[in-house]
Amino acid sequence: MAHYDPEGLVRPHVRRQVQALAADIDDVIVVSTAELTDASRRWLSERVRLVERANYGYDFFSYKVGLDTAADLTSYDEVIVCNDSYVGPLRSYADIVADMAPRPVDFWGFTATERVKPHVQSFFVAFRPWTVASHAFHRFWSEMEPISDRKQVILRYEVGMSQRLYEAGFASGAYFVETEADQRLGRRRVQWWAAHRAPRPRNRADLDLLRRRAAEAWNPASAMADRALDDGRLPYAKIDTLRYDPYGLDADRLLTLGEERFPDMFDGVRDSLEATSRFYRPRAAEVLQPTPAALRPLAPLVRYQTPRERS
Amino acid sequence: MTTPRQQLGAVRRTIRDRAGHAGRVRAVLASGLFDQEWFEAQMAETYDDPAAAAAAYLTTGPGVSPHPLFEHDWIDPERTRIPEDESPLLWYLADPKRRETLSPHPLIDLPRLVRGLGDAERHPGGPVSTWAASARPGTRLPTPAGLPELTWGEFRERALAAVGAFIASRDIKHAPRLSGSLPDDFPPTTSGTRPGAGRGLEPGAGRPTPLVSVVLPTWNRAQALRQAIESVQAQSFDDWELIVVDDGSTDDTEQVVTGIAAYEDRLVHVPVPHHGVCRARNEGIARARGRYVAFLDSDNTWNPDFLGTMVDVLEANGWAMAHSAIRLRRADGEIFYRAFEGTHDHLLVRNHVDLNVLVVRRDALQEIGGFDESLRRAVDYDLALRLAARHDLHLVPFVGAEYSDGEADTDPDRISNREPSTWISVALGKHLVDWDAVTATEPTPGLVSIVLAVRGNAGGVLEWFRSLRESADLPVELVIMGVRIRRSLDTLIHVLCSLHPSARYSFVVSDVNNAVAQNIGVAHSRGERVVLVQSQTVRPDVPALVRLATPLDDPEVALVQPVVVDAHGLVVTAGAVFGPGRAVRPVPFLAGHAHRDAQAADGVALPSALGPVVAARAETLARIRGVDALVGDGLAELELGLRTAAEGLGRTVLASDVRLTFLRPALPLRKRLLEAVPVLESRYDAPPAGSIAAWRAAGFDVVGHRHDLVSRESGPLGPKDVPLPVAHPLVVPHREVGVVTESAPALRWVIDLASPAGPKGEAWGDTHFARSLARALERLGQRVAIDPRQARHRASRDLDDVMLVVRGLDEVSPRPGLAAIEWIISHPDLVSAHEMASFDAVFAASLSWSAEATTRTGVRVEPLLQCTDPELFRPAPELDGTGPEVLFVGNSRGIYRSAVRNAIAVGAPLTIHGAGWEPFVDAEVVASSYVANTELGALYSSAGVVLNDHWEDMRRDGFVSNRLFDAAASGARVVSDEVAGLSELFGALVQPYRDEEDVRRLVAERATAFPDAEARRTIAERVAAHHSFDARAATLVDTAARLVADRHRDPSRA
Repeated sequence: MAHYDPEGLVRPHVRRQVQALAADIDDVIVVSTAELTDASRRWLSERVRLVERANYGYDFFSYKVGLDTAADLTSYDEVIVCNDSYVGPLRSYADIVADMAPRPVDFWGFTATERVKPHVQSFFVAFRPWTVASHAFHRFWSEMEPISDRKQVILRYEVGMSQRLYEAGFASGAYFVETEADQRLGRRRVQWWAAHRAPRPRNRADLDLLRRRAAEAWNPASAMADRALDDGRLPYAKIDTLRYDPYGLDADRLLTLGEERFPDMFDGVRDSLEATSRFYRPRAAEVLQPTPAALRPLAPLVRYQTPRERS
Repeated sequence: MTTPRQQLGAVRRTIRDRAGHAGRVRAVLASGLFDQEWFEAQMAETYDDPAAAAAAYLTTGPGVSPHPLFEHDWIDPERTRIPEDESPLLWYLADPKRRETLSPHPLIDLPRLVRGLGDAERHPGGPVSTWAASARPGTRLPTPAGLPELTWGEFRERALAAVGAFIASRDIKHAPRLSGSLPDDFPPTTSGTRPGAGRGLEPGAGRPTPLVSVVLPTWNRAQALRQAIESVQAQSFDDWELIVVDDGSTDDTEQVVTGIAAYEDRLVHVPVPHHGVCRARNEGIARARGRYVAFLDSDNTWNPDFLGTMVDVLEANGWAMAHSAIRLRRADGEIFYRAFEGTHDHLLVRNHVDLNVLVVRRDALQEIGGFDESLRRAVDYDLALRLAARHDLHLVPFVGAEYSDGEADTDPDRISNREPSTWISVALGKHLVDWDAVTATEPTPGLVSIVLAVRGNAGGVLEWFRSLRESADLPVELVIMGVRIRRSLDTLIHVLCSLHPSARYSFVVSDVNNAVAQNIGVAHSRGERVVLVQSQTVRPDVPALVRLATPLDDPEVALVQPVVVDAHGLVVTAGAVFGPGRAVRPVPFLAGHAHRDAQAADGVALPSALGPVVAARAETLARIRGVDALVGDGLAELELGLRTAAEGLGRTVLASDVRLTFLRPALPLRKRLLEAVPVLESRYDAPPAGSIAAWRAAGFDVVGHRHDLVSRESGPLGPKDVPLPVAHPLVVPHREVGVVTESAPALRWVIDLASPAGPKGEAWGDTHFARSLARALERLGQRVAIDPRQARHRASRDLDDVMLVVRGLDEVSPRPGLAAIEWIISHPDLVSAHEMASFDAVFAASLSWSAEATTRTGVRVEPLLQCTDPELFRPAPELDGTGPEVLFVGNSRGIYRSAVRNAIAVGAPLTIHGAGWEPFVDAEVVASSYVANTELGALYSSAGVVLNDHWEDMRRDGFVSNRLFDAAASGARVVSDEVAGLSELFGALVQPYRDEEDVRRLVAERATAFPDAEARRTIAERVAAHHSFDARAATLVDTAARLVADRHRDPSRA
């Protein structure tokens, strides 16, 4: 598990995740790039193998350091890499791993997306032993060099890892399986998002861009975020979704609903978000436009909602 | 919208076209060159009446012949002259000039045909039509000279028989194996349905072993593999086991298969060391437990009904094997189907059974021992051929699998990209030649079989028959193998073979390379010795090829290599030699050298042979299973030499007296080496020894090598190219060191002539002059090559010491580094002072001109007169008076030469041997156009009087012609125009004429005007003694030795 905190803390939702891992996973290694406080270090060391390293190379380089630290990886039924970027798991890791066991895949994640190129989302990925034993897996991690550009990390490592494994002949799966209803809603939410990504189209080029964006694949961490409320069918809520509301679907509401549905799991999340907000400024490229007047009546159709509201 | 006017125009055009069509039909029928039965035989159809047949003929494409004696391929072999939409027959008939000058068939000699017609009334369709209209079965065919005679009836009967056989094989050959759409008799769609599904075959019900074993070999294709496996898992029929044989993959195949096997009990994972697809499939078959075996490659996928449908049909019919159709998607998106039901005969032409849709009973596979692991490509084809030899081929009409020809097209690891296409010939060869039967056959002692593989539109085949006919008394047979040849040529060869008892012909329907065709030819041949010839590469010369087999008398000799020269007489190949080290990369021995160097190496043991002709014992060929098809055409003879050497069957020797003329511009070696060298070097650790010794035998020391970098890419090499270095030897003439002799040094000479190469050069006096001089020089221990004018600039002249230019019409500049001698024997006016100054020594065949030129130019010109060859020209008094009364030997040179003119004018009984006299004298005066030099002496001795004259400038400048020396040495009475110095040289033997009267008198009074026989003999002997080639050669050797010695003393002169 890759960990980072600008203040060297282990926030409540991260503690719960570490505890959940420690409960169900045979060997947990936390690789932290934070300047840990003594208390945080002590707390982590009591529960997991802690590796501290300098803060560069994002979570992927922490994954690499963690994998290098572990002994013979092929002796495990699953080898998992994850980070601290989500609230969860909303179902136990033991249940999740057991549910995935009969699925004939070579590696899997909580969610997969076709955005950019098909890939398993890298905040939680599990590898089967034959995949861990493969040349492609070994080569991917051994050739890795630290990159400190977020976009490059996503392209080369998050998307790149799945692509490398596909090219080697491996197949992936995802714990979260979208229903047809999910997909219809996902499409509407992408269209909604597209309408907020740029000012009103003024010419043909703008219109083409809008059309293209409306047809893009979605990121389930945002587009399906409220499926977490469905008894944790989506077994996490991404901190980024709650913090930035990237698709403009009323993330505050999602946080409130999460707190209602999973009071223990969401305890302290709101405070953590506030406490760290000064470190996480909105990303200029991702700032949304105000909702066009014509679309406002449609907001209730797309915003985050409970399963009951949906039906 | 069309206007009424346009409509009217269209109607008129239609009427005219119809009338035109009817007119064309009438023209065909009236031509006398339309033979309905012949036409029907080609079409394999019958027509109600001649008009219907003629109309059908007009719709056929090129190559269909209207009459046995009319072949489109003969009047337009490249198919460029006759417009595509025009009937060749009507095109031919339309133009009187064509009809009069163009023979429509190789067996028709048009001038002979026209002569034969005489004053017969002419057919409007021209002479051939006239002949054909009147020909009866017993009429003699006007065949060209050198070919046997036969009647029209015999010809037609044989041609008809040939065409029938050809058409039958053509239908098998051209049956469409690949189509753009499915055949009509296919069910409209098979998706989701299983024809005959569920006939009591409950999948897997209570059976301990699966019904079908699927063998899937794979090598480094982990990504594609999953799809193939999933297509097996998706089968509606599920009583199968999938045996994935991992042929030593180095990618993640093992992990991927492990992952799939973790969830699929029916998958058997068999990793084996990498040995190729054959052994992998055999490994799979060995592990198979099912009653049936199906094969799937990692880049193919089955449709879900494939196994179920196949098993149902196989079980229901009790067949041993069956295949379905397959859909092929090309890289450009185009779709094809392999959906053809063929027989074993069809299969022998080309494969139509895709292994991915073949299901075979396991016992049938075991019977034939599975795949042939000696093959590296076409292994599925070979399997299909062997299965089809025992079991019927059945097509189950549905699309069973899909194949996309994607990026794999350029994948260097893909078998079809990595392994040469000649493997297909290798596979076919196994099925087309029964070597055990060949071994069991007793060959005819003493008989030489020439095996000739003919490909394409081989017009030169007639010449082979001519040459064969001239060799009627030799123990030889000609075995012609036709591959990919046109019907017209096939018919012609059939007919010609029927006329030559010693010629046989077979047509190979399969598309194989020359090596396989030659092997089939070997199997057909009866001779004790076999000469393998790549057709159309050498000028037909049957006697030479029979001679080529002679060295096989020595049991230690396995192969005989001829000297192959180009049109200019330079060596193209005299066998294979190799560079130092282990690389098996041949270069042609003595390439670019004059033939003389090859003569020195006669009988030498060569490391190996090198194309296009080689002789071997039939027994040897049978023992080693013939020529190797894999290394391919162009290098098969080389491989033969390597193999016979490796197996200890004997050595390859050079037969220098067999000189064959190459008909191609160059050996196609560079390109062939790229494909063949990997094969050769995988088989042979190193080339056989003997390269240095072969060069030594030819008179050269190898002092180093220069590498030629052979590359697939044209243009300059880049840093990333990986060319093939081929070592070319750098040689220098061998010199005996430390041997002191009194005689002249043995020098390498080249005589440079103005006469052309080949048969044309034989008519030039210069050619014979040079040969006699060369013999004389050789008697003095020199080595002499004679270069015709085209070989003047050969690079290998740099290896020579002396260049002797026998000055004719060409001005020649000396090659630097050689002692340069010019001998002016004719046309002194053409020689400038500047030219003479460029030579180290200058001689002229005139006493007076030498002195005059020396004074005029300051260049020292020494006299060196013409001469004679006493071996060819000596007195023969016993012949005196047995020949022509008045003899003239010589060509007209386009002028009415004075000697002849005078003789005719005074009514002398003249006999001419020479060419070009038609415009000047009556035909009966000319006895022949050419006399061989060897017969000339006797002719002179036999004549009453021999006439002679000179070119005017030669006469004026005192250049006494060589004919005078020859005739004088023969003791003949000679009448010549007046040249200075005649009487000093020849005494009374040569009497000059100034005018007609002199000629008349000398002819009439020859008994008294000339000395008697005894006196003539004395003079003749004196001429022979002082004016022989030996005498001239001695002078020249002295001069050359001095020049070469000067160069050694003073290198600045070199």
